[in-house]
Formats: sequence, structure tokens, C-alpha cells
Amino acid sequence: MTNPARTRRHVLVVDDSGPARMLIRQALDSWARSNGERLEVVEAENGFEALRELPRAPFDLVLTDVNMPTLSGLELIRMIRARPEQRGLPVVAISTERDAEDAARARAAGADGYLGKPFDAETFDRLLDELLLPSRAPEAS
Amino acid sequence: MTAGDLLAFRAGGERFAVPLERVREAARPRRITPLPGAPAWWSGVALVRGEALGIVDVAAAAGLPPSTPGLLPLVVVLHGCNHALLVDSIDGVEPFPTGQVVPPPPGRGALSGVVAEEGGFLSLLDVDHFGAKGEP
Amino acid sequence: MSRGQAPGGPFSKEFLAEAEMLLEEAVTCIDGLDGETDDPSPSKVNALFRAVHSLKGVAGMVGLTGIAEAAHDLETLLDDVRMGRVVPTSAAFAAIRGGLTALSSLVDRVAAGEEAPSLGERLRTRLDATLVGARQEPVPEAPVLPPDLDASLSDYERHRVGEAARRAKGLVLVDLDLDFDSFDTGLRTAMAESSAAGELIGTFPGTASDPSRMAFRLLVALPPDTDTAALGERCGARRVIVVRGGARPVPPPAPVRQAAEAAPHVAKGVVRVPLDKVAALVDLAGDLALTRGALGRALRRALAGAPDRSARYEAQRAFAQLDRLVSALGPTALSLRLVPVETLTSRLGRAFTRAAAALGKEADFVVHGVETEIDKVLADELADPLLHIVRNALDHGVESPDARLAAGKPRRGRVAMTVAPRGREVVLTFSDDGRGIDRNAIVKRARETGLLSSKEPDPRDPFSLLFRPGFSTAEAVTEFSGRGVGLDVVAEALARLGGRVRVRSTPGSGTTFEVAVPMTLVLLESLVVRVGDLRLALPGENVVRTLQARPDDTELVGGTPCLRDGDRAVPLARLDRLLGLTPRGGRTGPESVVVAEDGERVAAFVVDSVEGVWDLLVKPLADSVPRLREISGAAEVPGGEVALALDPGALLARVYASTQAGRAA
Repeated sequence: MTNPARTRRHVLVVDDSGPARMLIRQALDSWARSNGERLEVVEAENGFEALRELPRAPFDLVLTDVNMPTLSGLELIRMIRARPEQRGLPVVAISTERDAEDAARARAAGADGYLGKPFDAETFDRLLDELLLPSRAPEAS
Repeated sequence: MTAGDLLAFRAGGERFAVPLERVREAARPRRITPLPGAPAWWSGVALVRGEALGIVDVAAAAGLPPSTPGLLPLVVVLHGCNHALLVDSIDGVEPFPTGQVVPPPPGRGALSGVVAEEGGFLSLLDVDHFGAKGEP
Repeated sequence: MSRGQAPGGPFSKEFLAEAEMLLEEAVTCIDGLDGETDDPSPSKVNALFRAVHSLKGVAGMVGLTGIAEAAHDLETLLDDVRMGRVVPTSAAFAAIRGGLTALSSLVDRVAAGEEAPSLGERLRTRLDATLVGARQEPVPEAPVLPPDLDASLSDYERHRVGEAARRAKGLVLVDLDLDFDSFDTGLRTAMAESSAAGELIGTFPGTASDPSRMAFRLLVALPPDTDTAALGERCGARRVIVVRGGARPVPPPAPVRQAAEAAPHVAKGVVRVPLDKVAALVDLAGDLALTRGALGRALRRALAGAPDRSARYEAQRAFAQLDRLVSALGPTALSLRLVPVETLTSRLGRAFTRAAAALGKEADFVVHGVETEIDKVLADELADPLLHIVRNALDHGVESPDARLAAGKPRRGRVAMTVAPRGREVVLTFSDDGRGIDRNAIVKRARETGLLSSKEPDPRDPFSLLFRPGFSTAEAVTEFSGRGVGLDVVAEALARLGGRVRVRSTPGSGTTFEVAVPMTLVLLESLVVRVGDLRLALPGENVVRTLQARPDDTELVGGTPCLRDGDRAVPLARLDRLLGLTPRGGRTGPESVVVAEDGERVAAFVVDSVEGVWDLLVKPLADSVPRLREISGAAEVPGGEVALALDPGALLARVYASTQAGRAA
């Protein structure tokens, strides 16, 4: 349905840390520039805000911190996965890299991808290519 | 008419009152739907507590410019008839005014009288004027 | 390579502000945990863990690897405490404090201008030295929860469930079904109430009653003998499921299995279907019934001249069969709309809690029979009158705490609601343990207010006077509906639903309101069309068909516009013009047309659009409200809009009175 070359993608960034949101936004912008994509980045400070933002725009991707007070990222992912209209929405869990177990937990909660903090540019870009550009994987570089 | 307590409210920038004993409740229906074929001082129909009520536009009925109700309009539901009054706000329960009641200006059949009060006047509405069955 | 900025870059200021805030938070947590070595508050341990974890993240992002490393080591220790791998002894707490001090000093060095401060050695080495003997093997826990929930638990949540079981705590699931507009407030309230009552282990998605709502399920561990019903009220919960009672430590595994079975998840032969799907099915059944009618008429015409008698007979028999099946489908689909009365009781419970707070009363709302099913529409219609009864019981029945104590009653009052089916009715009772109503006082008041004249004898049921208009006068009319409304409104509303209300009371010990209503409401299948800003509803049984008509489908017959319908010409009228509405301009192309009949006449009506077929609860409009006589009432259509109900007979009469076709026919 969507035309990857022209459509503006909507990305939701959920993190309770302002600097972290800024860095993720920066990484998203740099990915968008190098791929000729247009991204609309919406920030949410917590899980509640994220749940409220989700129905407001046709999001193509959610990047969420795992450790947030009150409603954790894993809880947020569980909620997203429970809503039929959001079931297919790619979600990336972002957590401070500790061990494979952390990634496994995120996957178990329903995340499509996992990013350890701090993440490097290559890993981030590869993950975004994979989740947002499935139709032109071989040409993209 | 008896000199019991009144419910006073505002519509079209003026003050009106009806006998308190005729008031069933104040309600905020979701919206008022216009009613084809109704006279101009009827704002339409609204569902209040599962009942379809005709809504009288008090301002228009008193010869003032008609109201343009938005969402959740405020209406005063009356006992013993199938309509409610569209008002802007409710002032509250007041004793019957002490001033002299004078007949309304001609052409204002919806009013039973007017009382001068500080800062203006209070118009007494004749609730049975709108074609409703009166209370015994 | 990190994308993060070098220290001293644009993020250093933000980093310092954030790091200081996180450290402060961590210190507050560890101070709060002082002395809680037996069973440290999981929320404090978690908050501490999260603060250190966040600090690690922020440090890593800006490239302060020395700080990130130290935070990581402390975080690992905190995770071990959280997960029960390290016994929370005072030595463990001392180690945590030491770790925090080390982190503070590193942050201070950044503030002093140092670019990449680090501890000379790994913090882990220091921490481990103080933790000798504190490590333990985690005990594997037996599953306690329903399987689907158990599968979605994180390791930490599973650990806390096990801890709750070990400490003989109760486990409950608090189900929330919230309006999207205010779900965050509702969820926060419920989370705060749950945390206050015990330990909020996790938040899970729930099953919403409606796709536009948000449903959540909170898993909460509670101290033994917590009043779970009261917790449910405070949380505004749809229901509270007790997964595991907390009275005494129970040896696994047998009782554990029992507990899992007690959860309603495993109810056999029940499928939960979202209401919109039911609505879609009911819609389809309605469309099918309309098509059936059109097919029947077409069939009769087609068969009238058919020479093959056996084929005619076959077609008639098949149609009769179809007719029966379609007729049976409607009510069956409609019965799917039956919902547990719980949707109603939870709403009453929330209103009860709010009203009690507002009135300064202390009372519990207890509900029995929530499994009883009633029509969804009836549940909605009942909400208002029942809310009134509940508020009335609190306001006039239940005494203030002081008055109750003085009367030798428990301080907290109680209003018990029971719901039970009785024949084709559903009976709802509301019993309070309040002051009761004195029947003599009612009669006295009725005589004083003139409701009963001096000549009239005392009524057989004096309580019926309570529902007479004028018994309780509007003492305080405010902008908020519901206040100052007498019980007469309740009786009126119930009468409109075909129900009734009765009162029993014993002075001093309480009052019971008994409401009986038919189990389902009679709904009128209606075709809703739009004309201008208005929605108009036509009874489905009068609708022949709907179609898109092109200009060449119409012709003039004796000067009257008609629609060619098969081999006949049907008078065609614009509904907007007919109802005196301003006609829509600039029309081109095909138009929506509804063909309607009333048994003797048939006509076609041009409308702006056809909105759909719904079962509507049509409320009649009194004759005293002036309007076109074609409008008989009003009904709420799905989505909250109001449709005006059209009287097909009057509508057709007007078309025929105003057309040549009428005179010619």
C-alpha cells in the first residue's frame, strides 16, 4: 500500500530521558537524510503518552526505552501487541546493553528489534533499513 | 399565579424565571436536533433520560435573537409537559421577587409578566404557553 | 563507534542535570529502604534500579564510559536484589550505598571539567567483596496464574508472583475498561490505588468492551484479608478477579492448580466477541431481512405469469424456507448483544464511590449476580435511573459514620445490589442498611404538601408516594443534571422501559428498592438516511429497497417525476423538499433513492445518502411539540447522533397528495 520512496513515515520515540530522545531523533534524522526518506518523529515521555499518541497518526515504527517508571517499555509493547490495529506495527526496544537476556525479554514481550544503549550508527541504520525499507533491501546501501 | 420560589436563568443575555415547582431537572443532552416544520422559537428535539423532548429556545420565544446551541446544551426540563427550555446558564433558586409584576410588552406571549430588579428586569415565563398540557 | 557526543559537547549540561537528578532519586530510595531488610519494598528497589539503569544509559549515550561501567556494576547488584539472587541484608544495603557514593564522585568530576573520569578498578570487585555469603540460588516458582497471563510475564514479574505466594499474599487481577479520552487518568488512579493497597506487579493489556476503549489488567499482590471489592471500587475496575486468596500459606502444587482454574479464563464453551462484530452481524441480518422482502415481492411478480406450475411451487417453497431462516436469524443475532450486567454494575460502583466521598458517607457497594446477562441497550438505558437509586440510598438511606455508631451499627454502611433473572424479566434490588423510611412520615408529608388531599384515604402502599411528581421537590437545581431530581423521574424512566419499581423498608434497619424490567428492549429495525444535516429513520419493514438512480431512470408520468421500478413507475420525491428543508445544490450523477411502501402506496425518495440499517429504540415525540406530522419520534443512532423517526404512512400520504400520480393512481 505505502510507497516507500514518497510516503512520510511516522516514528514514535518513547523514552523518559530527554537527552536520550534527542539522540534517537538525531539518529533517525541522519538515517532519513542518507535514505532520502521523510520522517515525522513524535516523542513521548512515558508509556501513557505513547498509548495516547499511537492512534493519532499512522505510525510506521515505535522505538521505546525499556526502563521507564510506572509503565515500562515491556508493558507498553504488550499493550501495543494486544491492540489488533497495532499488532503489525514494528517496535524496537531500546535498553542499556547488558546481556542477551535483556534482548530476549524484549523479544518475548513482542519487540521486533532490540537496540542496546549506546548504539552505533551502523547497527541503528541496519535495523531501520530492515524495518522500514523491506521492499528495496538489496539496492539500499 | 402563586408567589412560590422561582428558578432563574439566563438566555439571550436576559434574565428569566419559571416557578420552581414546574422544574423537573436541569440536563445537558448531547445535542439538539432541528425539527422540520417547527416554529422558529423551537430549537428542535433532544433525548433526555431516554425521552424525546421538544426544546424551546427561550431567547427566540422572548423575541430576542435565536440561540445557536453547540454540543451539550443546557436545558431546563419541566414537569407535566414534553418539552424543555434551552437556556445559557442557570442563576439558581430565588424567592418570588418583591417588585411589582407588570404585563409583558405586546407580542411577547411567552411571558406572563416582567418584574423590574436591580440592573434590569426579570421576565416570568408562561411555561404552558408552548402548547403543553398544564399540571392539574 | 558511539553516536554520542564527547563530554563537554552540547549534551554535557543536560547530562549533569539528569545525572544529578537520578543520583538524588537513588539516594532517596536507599534512605527509604533503611531497615527494610526482611521484605524490602519492591517499588523502592525498582525505583532505585531504574535510576541507576537510567544513569548508565545517559552516561553511555554521551560517551562517559567510565560512569556507564560503574553504573552497570551497581545495576547488576540491584537486579540481583530485585530478582532474589542476593539476600537484602544490611551488608547488601551498605554495598549499594558505597556504589552510589562512587557514582556521585564520578559525576562530580565531570562537573569539575574532567573529560572521562573512571574508577581505577571495576566497581563490581568492590561490591562483591562486601557481599560474601549474601548470594543465593533463586527458587523456581510454580505457576499460579492463568496460562496466557503466565506466558506474558517478564522474569521479574514471575519472580514477584512467586514472592507473593511465598509470603502468603493474595493475588488479584484488576480489570479496567476505560474511555480513551481519560484512560491515562483512570489507569494512573488504578495503579496508584493498587500500589497503595499492596504491590502492583505488572500492567497487562485487557479486553476492551468496545474497540474505542482502552482495557488494562493490573496484577496486584495484596496483604491477606484485603477487601478486594473495595479496592476494585477505588480503582474504578470493571471487575476484580481473585487468582489466589491470601489467607494462609498454601503448599503447592494442588491449591495452585485450583486457583488457576478459578480464573474465568478457562470457562468452557464461551467465546468473547467484540461488540462491533456483534453489531456487524446484526446489521447483516437486518440487510438480509430487507433483501428478503424485496426478493419476495419480485418473486411474486415474476411467478404471477409463470406457466411452469411445479417450478413455481418449488420457488415458493424455497422462499418460505428462506423466510423462516431469515426471521430466525434476526433474534439470534440480537441475543448476542446480551452482555453481563457487570458493565452496568461497575459503572454504578464508581458512581457510588464518588457519591459517598461527596456526601461524607462511609459505605461499601456489594454486588451479587454480575453474571446475569441483559441487553446491552437496556443496560445503557438503565444506567441513569439506577444511578439515581444508588445515590438516593447513600444520600437518604445510609447515615453519617457518627450517627451509625450512635445507633449501634458498624461505622461503614453498606448498599447491596443483587441482579437475578426472573422469567422474562431481570430483577435488580438495592438494599441499604441505613435509617429506613417511616411509612407514616411519608403519608404525613404527602398530606402536608397537598399530594394527598384530606379526603383521600391512606394509600395501601405508602412507599408508592415516593415516586409521585412533587413528593421530593427540586431543592437544589444546578447545572449538573441529577441533583435535586425526585424519584418520580426514576419511576418515569423505568416505565418507559416497560419496568417498575417497588420499595420495602424497615425504619432503623434499612430500605430495599426493587426494580423489575423486561430482559430485552423491543427495538425497531430502521433504515437511516441522511438529508442535509439531518438523519432520518424509516422502519425497515416499510423499505422496499435502496438504489442509486441515474437521471435516465426517471421519467415524467402525467407531469409527476417517477422512478422506473421494473415495469411500473413509482412517484419520486425529494425528501429535503418534502420536509421543507433547503435543498442541496450542485447535484450531478446518480443519487441515493429509497423506495418505501405502507401496504397500499409506494413511493421513491431521493436522499443525500443511506447511512445503514440499525435496530433503534425509537422514542415517540409528544403531540404537543409542533412539527411536521411525518416526524413521529427520535432515536439515538450508533455514534451518539440523533435520528428523527419518520412515519411512513404520513410520508406516503404527503407524496400522493402533492402529485399527479396520486390522483391518477
